[in-house]
Amino acid sequence: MSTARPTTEFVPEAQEVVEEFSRRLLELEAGQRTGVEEPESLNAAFRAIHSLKGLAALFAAGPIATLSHSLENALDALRLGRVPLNAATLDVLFEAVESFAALLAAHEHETEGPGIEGLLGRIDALVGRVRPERAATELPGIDESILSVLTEYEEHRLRENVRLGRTLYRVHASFDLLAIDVGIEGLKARLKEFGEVITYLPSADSSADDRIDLDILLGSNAEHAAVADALASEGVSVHPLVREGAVREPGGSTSAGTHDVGAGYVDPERVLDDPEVGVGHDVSLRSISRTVRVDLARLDQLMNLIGEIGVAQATLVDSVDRLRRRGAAPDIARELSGELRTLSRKVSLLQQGVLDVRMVPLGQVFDKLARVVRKLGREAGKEIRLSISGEETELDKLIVEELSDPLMHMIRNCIDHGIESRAERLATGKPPVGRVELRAFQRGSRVVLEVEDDGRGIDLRQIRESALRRGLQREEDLREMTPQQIIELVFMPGFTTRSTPGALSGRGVGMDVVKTNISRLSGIIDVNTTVGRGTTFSITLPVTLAIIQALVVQTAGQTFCIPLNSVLESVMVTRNEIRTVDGAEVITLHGKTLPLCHLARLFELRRQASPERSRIYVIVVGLAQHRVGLVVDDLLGQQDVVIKSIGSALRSIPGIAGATELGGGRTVLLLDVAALVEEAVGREIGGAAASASSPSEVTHGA
Amino acid sequence: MARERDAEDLWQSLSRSGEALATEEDYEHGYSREVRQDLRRCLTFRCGGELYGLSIHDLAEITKPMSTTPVPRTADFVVGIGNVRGTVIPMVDLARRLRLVARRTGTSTRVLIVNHGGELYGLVVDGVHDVVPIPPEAFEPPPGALGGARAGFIAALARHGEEILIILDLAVVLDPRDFVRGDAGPRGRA
Repeated sequence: MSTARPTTEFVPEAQEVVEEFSRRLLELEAGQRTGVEEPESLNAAFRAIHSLKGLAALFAAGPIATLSHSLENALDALRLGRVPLNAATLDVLFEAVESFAALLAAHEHETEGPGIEGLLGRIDALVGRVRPERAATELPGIDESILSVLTEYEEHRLRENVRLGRTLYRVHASFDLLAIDVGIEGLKARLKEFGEVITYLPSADSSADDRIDLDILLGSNAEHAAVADALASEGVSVHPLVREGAVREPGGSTSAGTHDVGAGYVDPERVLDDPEVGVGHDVSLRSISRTVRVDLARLDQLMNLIGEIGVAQATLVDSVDRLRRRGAAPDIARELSGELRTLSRKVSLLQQGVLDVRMVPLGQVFDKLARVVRKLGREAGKEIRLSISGEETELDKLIVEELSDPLMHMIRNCIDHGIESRAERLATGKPPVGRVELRAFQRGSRVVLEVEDDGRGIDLRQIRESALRRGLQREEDLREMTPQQIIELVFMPGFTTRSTPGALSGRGVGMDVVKTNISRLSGIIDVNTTVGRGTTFSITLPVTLAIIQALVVQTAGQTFCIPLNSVLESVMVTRNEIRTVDGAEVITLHGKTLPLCHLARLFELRRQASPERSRIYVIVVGLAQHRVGLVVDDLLGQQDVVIKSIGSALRSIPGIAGATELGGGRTVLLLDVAALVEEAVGREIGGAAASASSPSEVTHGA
Repeated sequence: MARERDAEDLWQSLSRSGEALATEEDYEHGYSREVRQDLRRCLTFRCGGELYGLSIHDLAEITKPMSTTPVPRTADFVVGIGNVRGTVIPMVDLARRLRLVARRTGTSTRVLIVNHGGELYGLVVDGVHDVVPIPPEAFEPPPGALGGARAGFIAALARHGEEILIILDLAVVLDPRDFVRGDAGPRGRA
């Protein structure tokens, strides 16, 4: 092939492989800590890199291919036990994960990737540091005929199992030729419960032409009877191969089991000659994966179509209603509305189906974060335990993608600013290891993500001083701010409490980026902190952005939609509940002062000389940590809407996010709550003290 | 396809140039007439009492006035947004945009749906006339002396018979920077 295939397929595929690799490394690291080594993790890591190498070669991604080739060698050596697996080795492997990420990004943008020579050197050094040839564990009781057919890896695993004092079993199984892949998978799963499958060997004594017999070498701590009982099914028999005791007695090469097995094996040369026998496992070319990769844009298209069907259907409902009112052909009208109900049920099922396809578990992001914690903790010289829960919680793919950066910033902040040094922690009577907790859970139609640390908490004094030093706030304003308002200063652009930028965070970018990103996803961010005890950031997000639930409102005769996920609640208030504080209208809601903002005034909509209503509706909207009450004349209801672009010419209008169709061909504008709140809050800055003032200063409004 | 268009061009150019179809004489002595391939087909329409031309390449379709939704914080010439079979498009009152005397919407009022930069826009005009082929030499640059507020909108003038067509520069007419009202955005207390 002279031309490389387009890279659009390569990067996402490669990223998936790298993620898999990284996940396996984390497993290995966990195994190191607990002392339970899982050879499968190492194998999976090896396989991942092997396929990455193939991919990279196919797409002519030179450096990635070079790096994966070198890694593959190292992993092979690790797998064969020639190189010890320890923290230092893992460091190099994790470094490779980072390099892959950078190389892939460079590949996608067709830029020069980072140099990898240093890393390649370190990887090669690993392989070079070959463990001095150990005195080979004696393998008494294992016939030479077995050893001769084992690969180096299998022999290594066999020795490891013997070393761990496991009993070796020969499991003889017979499979129907047609169902062999299913049969083997099933058996493998059951065998795994008992120990490690060392190898599969085709067996000579095939009972029939349409069956394949296999001998499986299993290393297990379990008793013979237990294994035999569990595996007892058609065509499976279990024989102990080497007893623990036998191994400890060097030279006992003629134990009873030997003949038992030796007889069962075919001559290795026959295996090679006879391809029919050789096809043991991985015989099927059919891929095990039952998934397809779909471009999100295609799903968006489907979503749009469904939206349009919905609109057409709403129009139909309207027409049928008119038909019924007119009393014409009542039987047909009834039939029509019945069918329409069915249709609408199916359409909403279809919509839900497409939405479900877009959903991915948060685990993908969490895995990346686990890596970040590990790396940052090490760089900051702090020991940190990350606990994760709710990784199965699902969110729209787009949201998950947008979340990884803000979450990373937040984790960085926890590690850099939150968690204290070991000495400091011990001095304050805390456990030496810092704890960072990442939680996700669904609450109603939203997903809540929490990042909690048990660090030193946010010191209000420090924030105040820092804000003053950087000239972000005036002293007199700061004096009148509530603690919550002060905490919120950390979300201001340019805010940092560090006097010198640290390697991790503290460059004054971070929390404002977090806020911007979360706001863009119509999310709300809250901070809870206790000095000396720790900080919790919680992000509340909508589940999807493709179709949104909207609140349909009316003001000055015009209809607007407000994304429901930014609406916290809506309340009806009477005019005399409105107070003015320093000229700004506010109401008291749940004991807190809520600034009001009239949509009609914001948009300068002309009223048709309608009398001022005595009742108004206040829609409490939130953006990040701010709350504003949007005043409208009427609430018309709630509806699922598809967001449509209003074109590049109108895109920059502040306060308008797009348009959408309601039934009957009506096009209405969708409000950009984030921008409106920002506007309202920005206006407030002049009177920042206003919303914080005590109720005694409140005067009666108009 | 190309052949069909050529044929159409022949008929149109013949009928417009006043030339007749082949005469007896032509048949006797043979005839040759050039069919021009470089004619630019323009839609002619009226707006604020003047005649304009728009290359049909820029035109997606012509519709009757549709219902629009007003959009706050936009310039006065933005009528609002309209919906063309599921696509939301901005609607521009061309007369206001060109600062001409706006006419009331009448029976002849039409909306030209134009494609500019891959997006659709609606231009409300007083009425459409015809599609005419215009040879390149009939185009002339906008006269500098024209001055006036509108000069910037004019890409060229084109002579068509007795009339002068004003060819608009869509990039200027549809400049997004003009759509948003200047004072929109954060302001004093509402």
